Amino acid sequence: MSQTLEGLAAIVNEVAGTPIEDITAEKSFVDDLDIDSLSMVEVVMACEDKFGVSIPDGEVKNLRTVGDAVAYIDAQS
Amino acid sequence: MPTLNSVPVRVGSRVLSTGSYRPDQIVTNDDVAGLIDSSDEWIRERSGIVERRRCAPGESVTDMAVAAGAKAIAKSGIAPELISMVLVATVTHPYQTPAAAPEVAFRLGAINAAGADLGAACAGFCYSLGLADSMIRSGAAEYVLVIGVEKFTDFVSPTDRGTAFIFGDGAGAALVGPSDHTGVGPTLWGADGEQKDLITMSQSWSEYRLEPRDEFPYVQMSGQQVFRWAVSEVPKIAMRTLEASGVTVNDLTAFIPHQANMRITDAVVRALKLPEHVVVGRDIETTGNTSAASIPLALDRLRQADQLPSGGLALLIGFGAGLVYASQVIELP
Amino acid sequence: MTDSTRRVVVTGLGATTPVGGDVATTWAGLLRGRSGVRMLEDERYTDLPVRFAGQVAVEPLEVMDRVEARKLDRCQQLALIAAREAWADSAQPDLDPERLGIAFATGIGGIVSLLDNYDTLLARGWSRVSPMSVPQLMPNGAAAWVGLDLGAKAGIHTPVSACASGAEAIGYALEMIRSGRADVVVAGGTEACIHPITIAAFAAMRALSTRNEDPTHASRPYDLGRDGFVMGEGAGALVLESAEHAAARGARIYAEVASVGMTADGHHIAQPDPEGAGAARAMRLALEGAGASPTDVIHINAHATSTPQGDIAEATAIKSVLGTSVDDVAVSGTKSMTGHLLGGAGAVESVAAILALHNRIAPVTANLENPDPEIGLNVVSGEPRKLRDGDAVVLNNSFGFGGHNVALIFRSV
Repeated sequence: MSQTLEGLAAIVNEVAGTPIEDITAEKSFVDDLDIDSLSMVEVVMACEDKFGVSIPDGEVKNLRTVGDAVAYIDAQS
Repeated sequence: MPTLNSVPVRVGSRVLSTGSYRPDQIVTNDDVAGLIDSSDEWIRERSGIVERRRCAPGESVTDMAVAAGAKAIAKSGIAPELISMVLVATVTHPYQTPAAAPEVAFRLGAINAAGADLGAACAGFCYSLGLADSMIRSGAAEYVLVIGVEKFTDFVSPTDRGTAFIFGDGAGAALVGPSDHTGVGPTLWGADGEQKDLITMSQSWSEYRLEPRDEFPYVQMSGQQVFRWAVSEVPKIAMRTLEASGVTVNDLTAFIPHQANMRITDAVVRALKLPEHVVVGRDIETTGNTSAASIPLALDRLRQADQLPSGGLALLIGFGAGLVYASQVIELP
Repeated sequence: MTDSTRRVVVTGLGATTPVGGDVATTWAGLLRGRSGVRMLEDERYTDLPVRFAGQVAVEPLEVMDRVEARKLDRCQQLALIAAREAWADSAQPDLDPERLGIAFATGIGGIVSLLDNYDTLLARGWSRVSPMSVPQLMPNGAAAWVGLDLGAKAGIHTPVSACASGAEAIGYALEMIRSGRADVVVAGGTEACIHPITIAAFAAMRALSTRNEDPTHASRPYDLGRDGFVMGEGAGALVLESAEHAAARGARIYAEVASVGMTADGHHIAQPDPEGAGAARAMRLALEGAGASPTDVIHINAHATSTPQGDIAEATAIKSVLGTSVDDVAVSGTKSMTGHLLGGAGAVESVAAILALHNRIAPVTANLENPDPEIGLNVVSGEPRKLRDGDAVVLNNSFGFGGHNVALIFRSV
């Protein structure tokens, strides 16, 4: 597991309580991990703090899966 | 497949109140010594007992249970119809059927309660308390009235040197209810049926039926062996209970063992190295051994004497015929 | 559809208070006179004139899932805990969600979440303000979460009338069932607004006790030494149900909600009418609505906040309503132990009043050492008092800043 995925999984676990091992790259935030739009804002905010990146609102809709978010964060940092 | 309803679990249970009943008639050592060729001094020295109580003619196990239960209910501030279960721990209810509990529940106005008797001899109160705690935490019950009651007068031979001076009559009760924290710690319990003959009846009902002219079945005890077992095992059980509850003897306010014999209590207190501040139940002196009733009777007497501040911890341990034992640490009401 | 004779009963009770984390523990504590008031250890209170409050006995996180709790303001956490206990206690009536309503009140709402997010805004800018802050701060949030949790669709309501809110919610629930809008309503009140600014604000009104050296004795209704109320937090919840509905499912019934009397003082924004005229009118309306006379009343759980003027105004009102019967009525001021739960008070005290009626025992008024001779009520102190058997009613009073008066009457069944 990449460091980014590990960090993101910890955030999703904190926000939504999803077991860490269930948070894998192909999982969709909305469909698989039960993250609603408000919780997604929380995840984004926590990612910005943790990884020192900026994720504009316009980008968030493109981050459908955990893998999308990891790729975006890795590209930014 | 249909799914079954479940009930919500609760965090903990707690003893909310206690109540007790001692029959009026006092029986001194001199009163019993004659028939067993003994003396007041001999009985005191061997058991620590000075006197015991005896039921009045016509006074029954259920009468005593109702009297003690009513006091516990009144002190709890809980209406009897909120009680979901009445557990009567006894081995001297003189009916094979029905059990004492349904009648006791009815007479107390516990109209919504289930009722059953529990036969675990001198461990009966702690067994019942352990069950009450489990039932409340699992959601199977809300309030449980636990009563320990014995009328040994009916089951002791006045000429048996091993038992005639030991046993007495009485009842003690505790109302147990839901709590937002653990008020009854883990119950440690066990049984050793290999030693079933150490305390037993002189014969079974069926044997007596074949030879009705025999002496009525009465309780017999191998006193020395029981004493040795108790002195060696009870401290170990007590230590395991404390460990399971996550406390030490220093955290205790009180130690209330089954009132079997003052010498057993003294030996256990020494083995446990109880600190000075721990109040020890020594109700046997004036009540004798009342089996399932002895712990709640001792507890209630100390509470009435204001010796047990609310919120303190008390270690209870019952042990007796079976052999059986049960023990737990409770928060004092 | 409205049927003012439709009988409404209480089939479930829930509470989390400074005295206990559930109904059973709270009730046992109220009978025993156990105070839930404690020092506020946080250094933010060091320079305040009041450094104590009634804090819940069991922290919400001890009984609530972490992920769920983080979405909720503390007052919403407490509301859910109490509502779930009440729902379980009522054996979870099975009904059409469109016949299940919620009336859950708060006096202040999610103010601590609002303040925390304001701190975040100042420290880190708008982009770090929580997306959950609006649902957390809105006063109807607690009611809405309770409604979501139970799947209620008949309507979700949040009466706001300061310290009368919790009682008003029960009155609202009664009327919801009588009007035919619902068969079952979960009613209650919650508050969790202990924060330096609320302490400072109530202290600025000179409304709070300043007995910092002895917090457990600070809330002392009817005592000559009383010097203001003690802030508290907590929630109470009741399952109200039409009598037919309860009977049809064989539910356990604690009491009938016989009536509610609601009036306004029209006197002052924050001072009680010294004659207690509005309070008296609320009690009279409640008695009339219940078809009860003063001799039917066996117990009052009084508003009794421990303020010098408020306790006297209420006592004056009670005496004017009950007349010569007043000596036979056991009056308890349970804020002496819980502190003042503001929007939660009316609900928690209704739970206590119903248990007093059901169990026929009145809880104590703690800390009554030197009774104020001007009170002239038969106050229960020291030991809980046995109440007489037979048909009877009990009264619960709640009053709020703004001049709101709510009197609830519960009748034995």
